[in-house]
Amino acid sequence: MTEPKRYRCAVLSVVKHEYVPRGVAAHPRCELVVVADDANQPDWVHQRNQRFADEYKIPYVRDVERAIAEYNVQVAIVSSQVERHCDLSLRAINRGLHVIQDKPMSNSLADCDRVVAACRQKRTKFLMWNRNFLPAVLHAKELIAAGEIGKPYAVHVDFYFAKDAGPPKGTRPLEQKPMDWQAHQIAAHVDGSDGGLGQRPLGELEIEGVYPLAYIRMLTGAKVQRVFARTARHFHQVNVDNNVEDLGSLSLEMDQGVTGTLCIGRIGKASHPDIGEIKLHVLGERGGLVISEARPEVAVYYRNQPAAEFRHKRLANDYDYLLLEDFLHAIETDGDTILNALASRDICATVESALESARNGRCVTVPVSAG
Amino acid sequence: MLRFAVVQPGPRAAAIVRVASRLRGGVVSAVVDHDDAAAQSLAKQLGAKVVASSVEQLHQQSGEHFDAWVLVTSDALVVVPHAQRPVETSSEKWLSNPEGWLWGHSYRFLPSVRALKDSLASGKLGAPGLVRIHQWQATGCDLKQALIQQLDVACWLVEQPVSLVFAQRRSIPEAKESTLRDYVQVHLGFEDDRMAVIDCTTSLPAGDDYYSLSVIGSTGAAYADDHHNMQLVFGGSQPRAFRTSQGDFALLTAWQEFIDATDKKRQPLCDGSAWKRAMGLLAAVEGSLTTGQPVTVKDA
Repeated sequence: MTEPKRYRCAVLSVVKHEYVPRGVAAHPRCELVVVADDANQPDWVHQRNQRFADEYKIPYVRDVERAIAEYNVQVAIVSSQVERHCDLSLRAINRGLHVIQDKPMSNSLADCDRVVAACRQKRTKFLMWNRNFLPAVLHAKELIAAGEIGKPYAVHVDFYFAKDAGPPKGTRPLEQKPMDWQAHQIAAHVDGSDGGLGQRPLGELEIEGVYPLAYIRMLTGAKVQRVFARTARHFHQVNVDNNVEDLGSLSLEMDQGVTGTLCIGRIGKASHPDIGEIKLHVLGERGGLVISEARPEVAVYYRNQPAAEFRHKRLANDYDYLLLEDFLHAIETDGDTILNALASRDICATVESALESARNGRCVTVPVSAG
Repeated sequence: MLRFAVVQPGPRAAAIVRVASRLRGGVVSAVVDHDDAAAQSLAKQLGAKVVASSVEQLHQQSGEHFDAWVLVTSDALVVVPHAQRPVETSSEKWLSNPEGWLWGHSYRFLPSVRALKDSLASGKLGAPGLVRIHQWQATGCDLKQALIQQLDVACWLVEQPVSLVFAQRRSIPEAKESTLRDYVQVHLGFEDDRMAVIDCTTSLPAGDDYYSLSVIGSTGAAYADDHHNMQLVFGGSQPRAFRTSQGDFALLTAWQEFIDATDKKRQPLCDGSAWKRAMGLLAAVEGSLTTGQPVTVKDA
């Protein structure tokens, strides 16, 4: 029996969501062989990279290009500060590597376009880390594919993360300076709520919007053409101080005659006993679907249970493995990943348009990719 | 004791019988029904002395026997003081006299919705930032009425003036442009950056409806979702899901509200001004559907 091909992977910065490289490392055909980053990064970046490298007993190289050249890698995993995502991905793609990237794709649509063009030119594969393979989301996809509700014509996603983000809105004394975004994000690493890590402040739509918008895209196959949005800084002082939303709602007009909505927010830990109320509502020509994204789950309660512990634990979550299977399949068949560079770019464009709509109160046409 | 004349109860007659005996300070004294047998039967069950075949007949012949008209539709209870004549809720005439009558639509008085409103009113949830409503009904239901009611619920919960309305409907190439069709989604922008998103459909196959209402507040959230209240029945193949009913509470509470408001000489909790506001928003929805752009709203 021929042993299946294994892929050597370079982790290009791991300062944010370690679950991305950990998810890759857990796949039997993938192996982390090096962590790399640019030498000019600040100390805290090097410290995080070094710690991760030490844990996996692999070298940490402070030179991205040298690591790629010397370690014979085929895959790059990027989980850096947000504004560096596309730069690191581009450098990897231009050296022929396939890329798995943490969300969001970028805070610059022009950077996204460059990644799309580079993937096309170099014929490399790109996977934006996503949650499309959660059991309940896959179940929804299967039910739709089986024709249970007919052709979908409207999709609604409620995507509320019941997490805090520092002190509540309105609690900063006047004499205190506004909260610094990056300092707050660096500190938030301890509980994994640092998805907006970087210098430029990011609202909830930019940080988490890729997940629900990827659901909508997968379930309908439709692209967003126009968007209307409202946003608010409703919960957290850090969002107020940095003028970025922590609550948003979008109306979506898609091709194929599909409409939809998205409500999204970092609504505070007190607002849900678990990670949050996350649901999919899909209307089709012959019926409707109501899907709880958290299922299946098991409830566990006990005396002296820590307040921070989720009472409901998600089960049978195999999406790390499935994402990697999808990625490797795309590489080996020259196919598309579940969330490729163009789809990820389109989601960024939708988010950018939504933020513009929230500012000007108009319905905004989502720009299409130049390519 | 307030005396009520029940008008054309139709399929809600049984619910009226169950509820009427539980009213505090009110009694049904007259029944109006084109079907004389149905009117006599209901009057007997309710102990009502007066039966009429039309509103006009009751008004002219037995006006002294009741204090208020009661119109019970499938999804609302409208109670109008005797001084006013009952007419269709969609009539323009109501706009000229928005006060004094009760617009007791089910969703204002459902126990789940009231519990949510109470949580909000108590301050536990903080300031409402987002109201999210999914209301799905079967083919044949009245989408316009459904939307009017949900527009009211959203405004009632958010407690701020609406400033912006954006609406979309189902894309059906051959459908007339002027209709809501069988699906509409509405996005409301309120003052103070608050927002509401509503989707209503009457495209479900015949059967039960579905309702989900969430309020996301600054210090808490509340979720009233039929999905959470489903029971399973196993009878082979896939199990079926059934929602446990909230009973007659919406009807009883709405009716009682009119009695209590009259007794305390205050406006009913949900009166014609709420209906007028919702009708104004409906006009904005239709404006947005026509232009494909958000509509700026004043005084809503």
